[in-house]
Amino acid sequence: MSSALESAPSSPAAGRPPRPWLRLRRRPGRRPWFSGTVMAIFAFCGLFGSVVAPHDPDKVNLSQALKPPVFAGGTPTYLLGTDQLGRDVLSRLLTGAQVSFLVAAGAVLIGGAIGLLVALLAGYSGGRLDAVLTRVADASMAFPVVLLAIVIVAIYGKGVTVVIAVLVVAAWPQYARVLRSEVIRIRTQEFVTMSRVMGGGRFWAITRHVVPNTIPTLLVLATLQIGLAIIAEGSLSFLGIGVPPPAASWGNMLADGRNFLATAWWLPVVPGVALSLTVLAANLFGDWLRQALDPATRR
Amino acid sequence: MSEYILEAVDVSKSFHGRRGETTQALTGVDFGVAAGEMVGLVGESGSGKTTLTRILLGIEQPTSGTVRFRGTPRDRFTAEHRRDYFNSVSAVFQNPYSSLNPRRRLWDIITERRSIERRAPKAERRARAIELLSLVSLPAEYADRFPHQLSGGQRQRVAIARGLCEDPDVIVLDEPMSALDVSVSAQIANLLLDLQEKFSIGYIFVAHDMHMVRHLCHRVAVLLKGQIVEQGAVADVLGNPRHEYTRRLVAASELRSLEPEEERVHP
Ligand SMILES: Nc1ncnc2c1ncn2[C@@H]1O[C@H](COP(=O)(O)OP(=O)(O)O)[C@@H](O)[C@H]1O
Ligand SMILES: [Mg+2]
Repeated sequence: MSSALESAPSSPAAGRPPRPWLRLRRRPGRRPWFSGTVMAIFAFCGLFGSVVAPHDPDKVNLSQALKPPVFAGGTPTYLLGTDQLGRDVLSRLLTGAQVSFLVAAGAVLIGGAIGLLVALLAGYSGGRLDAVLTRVADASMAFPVVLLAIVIVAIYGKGVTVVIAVLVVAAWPQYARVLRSEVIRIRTQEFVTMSRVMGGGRFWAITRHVVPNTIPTLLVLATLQIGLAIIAEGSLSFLGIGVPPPAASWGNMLADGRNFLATAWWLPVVPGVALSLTVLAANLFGDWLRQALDPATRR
Repeated sequence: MSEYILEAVDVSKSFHGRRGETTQALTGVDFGVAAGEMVGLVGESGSGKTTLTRILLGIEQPTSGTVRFRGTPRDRFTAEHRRDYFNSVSAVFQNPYSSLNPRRRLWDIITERRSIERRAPKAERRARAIELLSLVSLPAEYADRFPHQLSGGQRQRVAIARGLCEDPDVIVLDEPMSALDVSVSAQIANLLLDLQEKFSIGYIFVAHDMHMVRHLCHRVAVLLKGQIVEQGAVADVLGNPRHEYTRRLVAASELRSLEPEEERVHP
């Protein structure tokens, strides 16, 4: 490892094209087929999951318990099999997607909005208020999410709203930190100064110039946060401090299914795969977005 | 009462740094521009040229002294004065890569002043933008482009078009050519001259060498460490400099003009 690094400068690497995997990621005009498709499916299921679900996700039917998925010898009635109570896994997965989607959207929108507001306040005020806000953001970021969740659940009880609130508290400092430096970078650009020369006030500068120019960064942060929010919902529900059962959520399905890994593997694997694919797609999409938005907006 | 449209009267400016140190950027500066006059402002980098223009444009407040517009001090502006000032005083900045909002179309950038002032209809603003584009020799179809589709020289033309939008009486040009290469900056200089002839606008033209000033200006002021050491007609000041510093600036610019291909690097 270190020897390879050391030998690199002495080899005539300067004129060589970058390694294929590097080039692949940077090739301009590449469309994010995989991540885009997965994100679209996730959004669709998140909005209409319970509508398209073939069965009632909470309907217990013990005579049909632990049926395997259709591709593992099950029946087409239950495409992804059933769980120990005979509930349809596909229907639970689809309604669970709504929970994940709601949590992700809530955390991303509210966390992003708070983060942007704080960033504008800090980036425009400077001085003491800026220092205080930055300190608060740093402190919130250092606070462990799970501990925070336990505290909030102990006070308010479990629920989707609580999960979203926990994630908002965890997420806003991430936005605030990155966006604050963006705000400072943008507000000192000459087109913002010029808007003042033309009589535009602070509100004008913020709404017309600063905020629109933070949007690429905001979008990239948001897509990355979608992945984090979905994982966090899964983890909190898995630990029993997230969405209260019997409501279907991917985290609850994982928690219920973990005891069946040996006997009914599809119970943990199906929600696990759905969660991993969605998070992977969100991150890849965020990466793509960052590259796609960069050249046109930064000069 | 002087004949200046826009002037700084006995203006001083000091900046306070983080660690309590102060920078005296300007000391007792008297400087102004009359109608239709092209006045140069020269001095080495860090001499306070940009600070003086920012004070004239109202972006920075002077520590002491006043800025007068048509004889009225800035701090006694009524709403009427303010509107007149924003329509009559305009600017073109140094860096065409940061002076245009990358997320706006050119017609929208060029007529920004109109949408600040009042909700002007889009059709009217577009028509005005196309007029202005042709004034700066850019094709009308550029109205719907974004800044990143343009070269540096074209961007600077757009910035000039924006500066002209409300038929200003004064345009402050802070080193408008220093980010451009030699042939492009000559084209921009000619454009500025043409526009001046056409509309007889007052120019405050900032430069860190005297070459362009000799070519463009009627009058020139020389800044050294925040003070004006010499001010007068270009022929007098540059032809017969009285101050040692002016002599050095002239000599330096003559050296540079012998090597036109030399790459200009502005700090
Ligand atoms: N916002 C500021 N804060 C602190 N110092 C400044 C600021 N703006 C300018 N200065 C200082 O004022 C002096 C004059 O700068 P400037 O007006 O930009 O000079 P020029 O445009 O002639 O190169 C410099 O010493 C510069 O460091
Ligand atoms: Mg300057």
